[in-house]
Amino acid sequence: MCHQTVGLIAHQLEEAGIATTSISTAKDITEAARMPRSVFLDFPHGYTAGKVANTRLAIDIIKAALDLIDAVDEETLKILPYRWGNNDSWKDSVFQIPERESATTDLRLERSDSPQYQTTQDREYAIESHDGEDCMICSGIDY
Amino acid sequence: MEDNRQPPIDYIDRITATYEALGYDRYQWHYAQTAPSFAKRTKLVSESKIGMIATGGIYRTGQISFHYRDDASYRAIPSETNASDLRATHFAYDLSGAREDINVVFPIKAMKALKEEGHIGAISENFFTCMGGIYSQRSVQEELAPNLVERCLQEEVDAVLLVPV
Repeated sequence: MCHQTVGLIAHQLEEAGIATTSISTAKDITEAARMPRSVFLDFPHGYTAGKVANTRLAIDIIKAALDLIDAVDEETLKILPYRWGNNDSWKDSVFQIPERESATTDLRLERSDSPQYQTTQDREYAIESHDGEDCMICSGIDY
Repeated sequence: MEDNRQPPIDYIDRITATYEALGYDRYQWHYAQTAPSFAKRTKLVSESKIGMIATGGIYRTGQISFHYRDDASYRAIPSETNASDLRATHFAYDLSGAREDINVVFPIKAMKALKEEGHIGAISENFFTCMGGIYSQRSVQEELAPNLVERCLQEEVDAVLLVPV
């Protein structure tokens, strides 16, 4: 899962001489991955850097994460005070064991190895910008 | 009054139980066997060049998107990119927030603001994104992580903010 992947990346970055810090929304997975430094934000998955249209909150969360780089050189997971809502009822439905009748159906999206675009237009743009030899954008992809 | 506060979710327990109930293969959780090493720090964050790696399946329009089957590739996102040109695709989290405001999984606006405010010395020319929901820890260890380390070294960053989803 993502928090584990990030743990593996963090360990290799630190070994290469690059300091790391992270934001976590999954405290137990981050601890299992032995993340060097992280702040724990008790928000649902998909909101690692806070809430929609709230740059101030994102700044405060990131500041807290970056402060750990200056402050500590030992495994640290700092709990942030922010709450998602007035109560924690959002947690009730997260990864709950489904009802018996649905248990025979695989509810996960089918895992295809073709690119999954947010919009069909994105697919067209991607095809367009790769219709030639000089793709200047996807520098990160190995084909 | 904080008495309606629930403890953090035990994701490992809940996901393991859900997978079992659905008859999926048991997920192999990664428990790091070794303590992390810590890079030697010579500069403060306010004097440092900071990079960012996010795992939420973010791409820029014009880029090839990610796929959903153990995709160990990554994308370089120039830090000057407008948020409106960024997209999110993933199989493992609710994308509604990210598609309304990409900053909830890729806080590019906050990073720029922190630089403007002087809290960060500089931000790297490129940030990096990947899928993260990769079931093969080996492909992360041997492919994705080393590639990202190499790119971060090229960017000459002093430190990296990691944003998993």
